[in-house]
Amino acid sequence: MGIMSVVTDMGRNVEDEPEPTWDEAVAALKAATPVEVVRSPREVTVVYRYTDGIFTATSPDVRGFRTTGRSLHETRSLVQQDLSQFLDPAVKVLERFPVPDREIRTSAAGCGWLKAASLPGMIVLSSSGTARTFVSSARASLRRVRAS
Amino acid sequence: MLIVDESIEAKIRDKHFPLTAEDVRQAVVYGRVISAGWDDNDEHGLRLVVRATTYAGVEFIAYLMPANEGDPEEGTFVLKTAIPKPST
Repeated sequence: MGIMSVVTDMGRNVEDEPEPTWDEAVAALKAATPVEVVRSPREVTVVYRYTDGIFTATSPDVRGFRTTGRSLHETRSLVQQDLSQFLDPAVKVLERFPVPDREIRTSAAGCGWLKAASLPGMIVLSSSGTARTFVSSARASLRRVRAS
Repeated sequence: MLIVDESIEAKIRDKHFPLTAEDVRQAVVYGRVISAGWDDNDEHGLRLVVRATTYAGVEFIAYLMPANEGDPEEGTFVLKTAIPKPST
């Protein structure tokens, strides 16, 4: 969500303006009339990826945020812990999970074995196309999954 | 909404390492605000002074000017500067 807008220079040379020191800024804040900051509903997006047996979570809204885990469950837990230290509690966290590779979907029985090693968490469709299995454990990369 | 002028972005990057305007924007928009207050300065006019912490853990005080002087509480601000807390 890109809230930041860049506007054209307003003609003032900000390089020439003296900057307050930290102590001056603290003093200014102490002397200021206190207000409660009320912000509109906000949300940040967390994107999960799965590569080489590791789940990685990043966010386009929080620079520098990156969390990894051996399972999706573990990674989500770490994300929650990490972001709760930073985010305003009113901010909603939207999670985007790995999308299944279409090539691993099967619509007919007997399509053979699917190699799990390179799969980003996987959805296997049964022959009826209704039953789905989401494999999120790192152990998925160590075994083969038969599509029924 | 927080408007960040390119010149302010450059100033913060150059003068207040490791702070960046984007870090400040994210913290002010999404982060926990420690405290805030209106500062009516003779030279600079009415400004919102905000103390918060970036995701990376850098505490700072930012000066925000209301974009609409006629309605300072309308909710749109222009970032004027941000001062990081000196590391001890």
